Parts: sequence; C-alpha cells; structure tokens
Amino acid sequence: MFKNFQKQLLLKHPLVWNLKIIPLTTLAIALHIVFLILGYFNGQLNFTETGNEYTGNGADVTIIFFAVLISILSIILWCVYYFKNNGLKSFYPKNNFSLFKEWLLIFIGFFFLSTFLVSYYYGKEVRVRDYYTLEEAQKRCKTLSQGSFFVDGSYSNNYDDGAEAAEAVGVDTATTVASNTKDYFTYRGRNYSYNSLMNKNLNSYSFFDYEKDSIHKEEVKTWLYNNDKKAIQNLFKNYLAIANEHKLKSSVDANKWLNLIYDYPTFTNFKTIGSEEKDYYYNNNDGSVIDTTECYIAFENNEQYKYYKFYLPEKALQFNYSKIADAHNKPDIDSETLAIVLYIALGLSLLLFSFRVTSGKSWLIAIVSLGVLNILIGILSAIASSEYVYLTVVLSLIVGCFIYLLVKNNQNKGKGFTAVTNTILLWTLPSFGPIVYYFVLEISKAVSDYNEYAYAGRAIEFPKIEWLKDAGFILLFVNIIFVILVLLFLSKKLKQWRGIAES
Amino acid sequence: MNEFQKQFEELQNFLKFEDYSILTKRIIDLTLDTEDVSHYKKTNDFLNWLDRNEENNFEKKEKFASVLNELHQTLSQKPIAERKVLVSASKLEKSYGISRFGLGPINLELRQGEILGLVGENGNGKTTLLRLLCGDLFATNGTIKYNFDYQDLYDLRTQLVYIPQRTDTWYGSMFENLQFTASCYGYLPEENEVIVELIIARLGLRKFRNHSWKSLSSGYKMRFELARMLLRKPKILLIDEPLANLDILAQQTVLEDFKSIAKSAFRPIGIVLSSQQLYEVEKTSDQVIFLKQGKQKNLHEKENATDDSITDKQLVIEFESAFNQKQLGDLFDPFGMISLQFNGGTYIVTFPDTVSVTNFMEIIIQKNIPVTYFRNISNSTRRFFVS
Repeated sequence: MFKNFQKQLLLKHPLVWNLKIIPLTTLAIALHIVFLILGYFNGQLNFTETGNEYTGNGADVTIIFFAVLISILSIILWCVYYFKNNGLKSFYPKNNFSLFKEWLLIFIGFFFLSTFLVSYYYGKEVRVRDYYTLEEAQKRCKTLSQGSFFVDGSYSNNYDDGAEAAEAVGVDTATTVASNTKDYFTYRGRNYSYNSLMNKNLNSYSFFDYEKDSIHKEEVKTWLYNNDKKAIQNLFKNYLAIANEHKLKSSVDANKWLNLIYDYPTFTNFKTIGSEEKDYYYNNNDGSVIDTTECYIAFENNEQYKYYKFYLPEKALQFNYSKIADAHNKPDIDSETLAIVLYIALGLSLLLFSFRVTSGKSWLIAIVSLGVLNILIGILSAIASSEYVYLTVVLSLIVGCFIYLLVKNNQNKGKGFTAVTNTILLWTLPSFGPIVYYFVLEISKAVSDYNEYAYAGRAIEFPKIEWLKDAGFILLFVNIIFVILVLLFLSKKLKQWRGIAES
Repeated sequence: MNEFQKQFEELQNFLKFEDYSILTKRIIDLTLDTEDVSHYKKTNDFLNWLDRNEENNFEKKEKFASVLNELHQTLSQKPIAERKVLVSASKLEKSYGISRFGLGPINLELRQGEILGLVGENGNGKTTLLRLLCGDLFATNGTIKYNFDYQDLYDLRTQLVYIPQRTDTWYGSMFENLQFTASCYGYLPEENEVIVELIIARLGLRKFRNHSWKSLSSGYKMRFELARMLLRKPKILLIDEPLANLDILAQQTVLEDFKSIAKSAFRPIGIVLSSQQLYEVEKTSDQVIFLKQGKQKNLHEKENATDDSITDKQLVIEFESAFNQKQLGDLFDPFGMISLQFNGGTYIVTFPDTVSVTNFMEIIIQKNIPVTYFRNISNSTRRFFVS
C-alpha cells in the first residue's frame, strides 16, 4: 500500500514524490509518537522529591541527545533522497508557484523533523497535567498555599501588604495601618508583633497572581483574627489529606499542628513546623541559637543536618505541585517555543532551498562572503561606535541583493554574482522584518522624547510606542507571514532567474 | 505524396523484407505520433507479444501488418506539421574577453525536422555555439530569435533540451527517473507508465530499465539521456558530442534515431549536434557548420553563399597511396591538377570541375596507381580540416 501510494504520487505529484513527503511524514509521525510516549512516561512526578537533591533527570539528558541526533540523521536521510532529482536545474516545466510550493513543503518537513524534543516535553507536560483537572489542581494549590502559612518560612517585612488585599476582600482599609517606625504593625485595629504568625508569608503557585495570593492570605488572617479554629483545622486536614495521598511523612496531625501554632490573639507563641524532616544546617556564626524544643543538629557523613521535631512535607509538596501548576498555567510548550521552532525550521528550510535553487559552490561562497562582511561591518561598527551601523548594512544588503536580482532578470546578460547574492538574500530575508521593527521603534522613541526608565504614565503618553513594544512578540509571527509572502513573489523571480544565461 | 505517406511506404518495405528491428522502432515512433494512450497500450501489448513470440515468423508478420494498419488509419486523419523555422541566429558572436577565444559571427536558421551538424576541431567553438543556442550563454553581439511561444526564459529553456558531453548522474532506478520526467512534463497518470515503456523499447533499453546509472556503459547512458529527451518533447534538441563514446555501429544507430525523431511527420523537432565523426554527421545532417577558430564555414549552402562556403565545383579527393608526392604530381598534372597536399598519411588532390570522380578512377586504373582508399570530399567539411 505504501509503495502504491508513492507510485501514485510519482504519477500525479512529482514534486511531492521527489520530496519523499510520505516516508518523511510517516517517519516524523512515528518518531513524534515515540517521543510523546517517552515524555509521558518520563513525566511522572516523584512526590518525595523536594528540589534540594534535584540535579536533573538523567533520562532527560539521554533523550535530548537522541532527539537531536535523530533529528539530524532524519534530516540528512531526507536530503539524500530529496537531492536525487532537481527539476529546476534540469529545466523541467514549472509553474510560477511550484518553487514556492517546494520551499513550503521543505519548511513543513523541517518543522516536523526538528521538533521531536518539543513532543517529548509536551508529553511530559501532558502527563503532569493529567494528575488533576485544572479545578482540582487549583483547589489543591490553594490549600497548600494557605497551609504553608503555618509552616516554617519567611515573614513579611515592615511594609504591610495586607491593605490592598483587605480592600480586595471588602475589609475596611481604614482599620489596617502600615507602620515603618514601630516594632509592631496594626491589622484591623489590633497591634501585632512582627514575629507574630499574623505577619507570616505563604508560598505561591503559578496559578495565583499577587492579588490572588493576597486574597488567600487575607482569608487565613481573617480566620486567625476571628479566632476561627475550625476553619484552620479544616485547612490542616485538607493539607494533610494531600500529603497522605502521596504517602509523604509528617510528624503532626491536624490537631497537633493546630495546638503547636495556635496562640490567639497575639500568635507570637508558637512552634516552628519544619517544611521537611531534615535540612542542611549552615552555621552562620551570627549568634543565633537553636531552639532545641523545635529541632536538633546531627552529624551525618561529616555534614551537619537540622532535624525538625515537628515537620510537614511542605518542600516536597511545593516542588511537585509547582510543576503541576506550571504545566496547567504556564507550560514550556507555548507560543514562545512555537516561535523558536518555527524560526529554526524557517532558517533550515531557507538554507536548503538556497542550495537547491543556486548551487553548493554559491552556497559556500555566500558563507565566506558573509563571514568577511561580518568582520568588516564589525570593524565599521566599532569605529562608528553605533549599534545602527550593523543593522543598516544588513538591511541594505537585503534590499541590494533583491534589486540586483530584478535588474539581472531584466537584462539577461548573464547571472553575474546573482547565485551568491540570491543565496545571501534567502538567508537574510527573515531578519528584514525585525530590523525594520527595531528601526521604527528606535526612531519613534527618538522623535518623541521617550524615556526608557520613566514607567509612570508611559502607556498614556506614548501609546503607539507602547503598542509597538507589546506587539514585538506577535510581530515575530507576522514576520514569518511576511517572509512567506515575499517568498511567494521571490520564488517566481528565482524561477525566471534560473532561465537566464550563466555567463 | 506527403511526408507521412512517404514514411509509411518505407515502413511497408521494411515489412516486406521482414526487417523487423527497424520496423519495430518506426512503429514506436508512429505510436508516439498518435499521442493517443489507446495506441500506446496496443503497441506495448504488441511489444510484449513480440518478446514471447520471437520465432513465430508467420504470425509476427501478420501482427506487424495489423499494428501498422491501425496506426495508418489514425495518423491519416492527423494534419501533417508544417516545417516552420524554429530558431534563427544572425551575426551571433560570443567573446570571452580581449585576446581570448571568440566565436562568430554565426548565421544560421534551423527548421522543424532538420538536423544541423556542428563540426570542427577541439576548442573551435562547437560547445559555445550549442550553449548559446540553448540559452546557457548570452551572445556578446548578434541576435537569436526563437520562433515559438514561451512565457519567460525559464519556459524557453524547458523547450530547448541541451545534453552536454558529460551528463549528470541519475540516482535510483532508470525507469523511475523516466517516470519522474514524464510526470513533470504533464503526461497523465494513465499514460505515464506505458509511454515510458514505449520509449525504453524505442531505444533498446528494456533490459536496463531497473539498472542503476553506474552499472551502465557510456553508450547506454547516452541512450537513457535520449529516452529522457524524448519524454521532454523539446522544440530543439542540442546535443554535444553524442557519438563520442559509441562504437561505430551504435553511432549509426543513434544517428538514424535522431533522423527519424527529427523528421516525424507530426511532431518534427530541430536537432543541433556537434561531433568529430565528420562523415557520419554529414550523412545525417541537413546542414553542416564547420567551425575553425570560432569562424563559420557552411556546407550545403543553398542560397546567399558567403566567401566561406563551398561554392566552387572543384573535385577534391582524399586518398592513400604507396606512391610519393612527386610521382603522384607527375601523373595527375596532365589532367589539370590544381593542388596535391600530403596530410597525415593521406593525399588530397584537387582538380577543376571538368574532372569527375569517374575520371579520377580512370586515371588511377590507367596509370596503375596503387590506391588503398579514396573518398570524394568535394562536398564534405573534411575539406576544411585539411585545407
């Protein structure tokens, strides 16, 4: 069947047959599935991991190595078959868009052959996402975040960040007073020591922005303020239920935890609950004293460890649930990855396309020419001490190569250096859009006295510049469309160029 | 009697004398002329039948006759192609810079169905002229005019097939390569395989259809190039030294193939070929251009003869003899000998137009001159080589 399909392509779509699209697609799909499955299985979380001992996944390194190797090998294999026939060089009939079609197919081919790693990481993320639904993951992260309020961790500084959050949840901000001069802070009319639990921070997850975190924190503080032990006990039960589900060890249950930390109304007298059973101990020689009712120091293998008497698996939970939250909320395989992969495929496709359209000799001369040109522009830029020199020369080079092609096409007096300049034009084409963007942005800033460091009011004062800056990432995708459109036109000109005399 | 009728009569003679080898080739040519897939299939079936019934002479003759008749019926309805001018070059020159080689001025005109032979010693501009005509080089001076439609220069060059002396390697099976070419040239899927089969058979390549390029001799490589060329349906075929690597028999076969391809009654093409095989090319070509240091000398110049063309009617004979130059001079002088040159083992004797070849033979017999070989080169570019 496979052979028959190839034969049909040979008879009906010789270009597609010559590009070996069917074997290529079959190979690429099979390898993507393999890497997706590998990623899925390798994406399993080890809930005992805390991040302390995390030094990278050995399997990851091996798979990355093989993904890159397989990408390179499959591209070489593809090229070997693809290079066997070149209809353009043999002057086989071609319509005005067949060169464009050929490039587009190469581009798609490179996209699929250079993205095995993406499939691997996507598989990993899918596996991590599969642990819990978005709602469940958010619910659990909220519980863990609020629970972390009662575990060893940092405290707020003198600045009271609760006012804003209090306002958000409808608390009268007039009752919340920030103080930078006193050794206490006032919350809803009550004074609390900075060492009070009321001043504690909670751990955040990528699901929650600053505002959400503040709301969660305010909720906990309100329970404490209102002496709502039941709500807090309930939180602890939920927290420990999560820990137990992952078979993580803790030295306290919900009641004990509550007893150890609860000291209404001041919340100053409480025991530290460790975020793990033991941690490296560093003696800072700062005169700090270890509270032996909370922990003790032990030597193991010439290392000092601090053992907590009361501990919860907060570090392990935070480490793993952060991954779950990230997989849902800010996956690695996102539009940025897509942009990177698209540009890699675009670059590779133009390298190969230029080789097909011109020749290996022109290709090598273009590399040497660009190398020499780079050195010269570098020297020129250094002399001029301007960042614009380099970009101006590159921009001029692209425009110059393009005009030279059009002129030579019209003259029909030999190809001249067009084989080399066409190669350079194809290679540098994707940089045209970003350079123009950069120049437009810089000129706009220069003519409107835009201050890079004056953040306030900038969006109102310079809306166009701000829009341009915000649109930078989107423009990367627009640039790919621009390159595609230019190639649509250029491929027609390159076909004509192929027809003119060599010398 | 039109061109097709003449050709058909010739084929009937082949049948009459059971010259099946040439007849098979010409039947394939006629089949390709029909441009009809049903005929392609019928002829292919017939070729397969022939393979299986090599010894069945009686039935073979009947089958040949039947196929011929069917082709005749179809082609009789088809209009005969006009012999239009394909390309004309006027004062064509190519210079590679001061004090380097320069070609031209060249004047030529090539019609459909004509073969133009380019002869000359190495380095005298044959390849340059071929490359100028196929658009691979641009002319420094003068003009080339192609008298057929084309959209742009690329489109023009798809219709001018140039086969250089050193051809590129083909990768993969030969059959697949030809199918790829056929497909690129717009043959329909249903006719692709069958037309490739026909062309392979036409050039005697059936045994080599699945061979790789490297396993073929240079003669067969040339044949595959010709097979590909046939699929490309060129207006003009330009071919550099096609006979270079062929034995004498293969040379004659290839030249005969060129002749029948060029002179198709329905799809005539122009062929320009360069060669060192002077006499073979002269036999096949309608025009011969001799190039010496880039300058043109024409043979068979019909009208507007230039100083460079052979216009006089002198008798020029090339011969080999055991006699020395003085002995020969003394014997030829009384018959009005104009010149006698010794040229690399052979003599070239020139007589006025009053002396004929028969007279020359009479002198040989009469004077008992020992001659091992002689050739009348009065109408051959060989004259230019030796002059």
